[in-house]
Amino acid sequence: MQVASIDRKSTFERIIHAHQRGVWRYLRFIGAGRTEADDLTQETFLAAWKADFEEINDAATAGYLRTVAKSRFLMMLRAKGRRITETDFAEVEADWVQLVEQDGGWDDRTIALEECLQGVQGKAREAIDLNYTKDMRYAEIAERLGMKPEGVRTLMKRVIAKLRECMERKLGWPAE
Amino acid sequence: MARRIERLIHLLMREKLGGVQPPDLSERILGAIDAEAGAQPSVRRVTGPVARPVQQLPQPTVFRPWMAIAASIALVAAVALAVSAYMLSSDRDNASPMATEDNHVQAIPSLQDRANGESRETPRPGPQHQPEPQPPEQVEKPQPMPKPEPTPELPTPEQPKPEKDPVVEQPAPEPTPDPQPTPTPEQPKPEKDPVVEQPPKPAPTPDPERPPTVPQKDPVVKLGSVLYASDKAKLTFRMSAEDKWQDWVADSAVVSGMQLKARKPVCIELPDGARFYFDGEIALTGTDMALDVNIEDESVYFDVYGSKRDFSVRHGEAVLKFRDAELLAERSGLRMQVSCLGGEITAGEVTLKAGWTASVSDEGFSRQKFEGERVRNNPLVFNMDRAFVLMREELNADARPRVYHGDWKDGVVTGSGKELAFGIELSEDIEVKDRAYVRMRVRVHGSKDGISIGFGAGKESDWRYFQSHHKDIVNDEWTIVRIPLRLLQDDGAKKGIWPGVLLHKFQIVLWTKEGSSVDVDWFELGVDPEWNAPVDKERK
Repeated sequence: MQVASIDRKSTFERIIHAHQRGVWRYLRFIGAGRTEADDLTQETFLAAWKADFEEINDAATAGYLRTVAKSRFLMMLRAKGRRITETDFAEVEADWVQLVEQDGGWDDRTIALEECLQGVQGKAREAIDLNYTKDMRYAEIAERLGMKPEGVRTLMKRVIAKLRECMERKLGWPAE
Repeated sequence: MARRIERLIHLLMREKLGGVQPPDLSERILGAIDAEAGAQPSVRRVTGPVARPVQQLPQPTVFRPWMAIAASIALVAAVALAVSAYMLSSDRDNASPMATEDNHVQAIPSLQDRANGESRETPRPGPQHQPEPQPPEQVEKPQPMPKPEPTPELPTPEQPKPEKDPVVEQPAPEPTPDPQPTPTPEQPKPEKDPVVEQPPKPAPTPDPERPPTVPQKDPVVKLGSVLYASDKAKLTFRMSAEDKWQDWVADSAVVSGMQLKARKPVCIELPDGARFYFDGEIALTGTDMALDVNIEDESVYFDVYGSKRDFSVRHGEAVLKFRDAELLAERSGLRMQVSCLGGEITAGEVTLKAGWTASVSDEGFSRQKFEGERVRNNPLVFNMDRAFVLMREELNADARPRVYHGDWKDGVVTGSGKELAFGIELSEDIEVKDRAYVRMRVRVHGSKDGISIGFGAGKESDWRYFQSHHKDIVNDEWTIVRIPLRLLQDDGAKKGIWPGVLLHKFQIVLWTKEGSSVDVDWFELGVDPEWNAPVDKERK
């Protein structure tokens, strides 16, 4: 009995190691903040443990954990009285699978982004770096680059759109 | 789809450029599962190694079934030992009165335990112990036994336990140091070294666990001074709960036993350069080696890196002891919420590192959570950082490419050299303001003649270099040094630095050229509030 329990736990430990990052990223993708994603990831695995979850294969496990994570996220939003911005979670789920889980996963997306970022230079690159590396707000970036905040917003939109087109080309995502 | 792709790009860039990686939550999840299963882990497990740029809790012990068996055996052995100890001790003439027949296996608390208990009974003890050396009974002795036994209930002939609580009953040792400042806040501030904030010499046997109070006569212990209080703070004080609140008078001393109340943040600086900020109501007790802050309302932000003092902060039953750390403590109902902003803070077997928050109760930490840089968003911390600090360089990994002289390792730069020991380009040019100062935590080795600090200013085509020399830095000890920038002089024309100069790089030179080195932990450029600026003292 005890051996079975230990076996179950070690199996579950492996599942945690294999899937926790994916669950965390998925939570961030559907709108959770960083701390929220930490807490919800923990809750997701705890719920799976309590539900005597059994592993079939990796894809099924990931799908199951996403479903639990999504439901915990929605519960949290309701508890906090926050607006639910995503209306079609089935579509979000499908997009996530297509954008992230297929063909190489997250690491391939990171490499593709790095390559796409090489094409972003000048003020646009500076703005990206200040925003993401230094965590500066648009107003601060505007001050630093001698622009208006609205100009920075437009610049960032253009850069992200350019990156999206580049990623779509590289990864074969459907273009708009 | 496009919106979601852009969301994904945003997340990828947050990870790639911003370093916001998903944390490793394995241990935290397993801890939650253990707790859920009712298997109390031997160490409270809250989180695992989190792959984030900020430090995290250490990986605690994982509960295993054999631990329960081992614990059971240990428990049985302990009970057997305790019973035999009682049997033995009941025959002895010099048995401790604690081991009475009603109290067979009650452990005689160590002096430290008693002192702690005393401290808990009086959350805000009035009188303070003095800086003088304590009589032997009041100083925690190293155990005379070579191997301290975990069964203190067994009195050994070599170590007869004192029958009375020496902390309570010993007459206070006393020649009080004569020129004590008076308790009134009108007391003029003693002159302080404007350059070096030297931590006080450690006592012969510093005891980090010792509570800051020992009942005795009524000396006045000056703890520090109010460095900053805005007009809107409406800072008031009183010496006991029966007194009326009185308006604070500038240049008064902050003394032990004082209660302070403010509507807006107030900064108090201790003689060794450590600072804390509060924005509610606090009560202070302490000595020159310890400070206890009782939070009655709101929060206290401690920036006590480099201080050798023992600190404790409490609210109700919750007490946290720490030293050499940066933390925020907030009242949260009956509990106290703490955030570690730098260094480490420990309660029981759990240690919080920078970026972690937790709730503190009389049982230690709980509800630990990683907040990362967000812990600095608290209004008290944010406002104080902004009010005082023009820039702060922690010498984290992002600073490494800007260090052009010295070796970076784990947030400390170590440098030596005949011409230059440490050099760094500032993360951005900083404009010199009136009353600006540089504050840094450094440690020198083998330097007889102290250090020179210098700032390179201006653009490539028009470099100027300003420097000043300081001798009063003790070798081999971490020291917080605070130097007003007005002491800096132009390298060539010997002209003092002036407001408006743009500082671009910072350097340290050691005057002892052979066999000397310097470690730099952090430095910051800040501005003193106007009324606190020294009145044109002679320049060093």
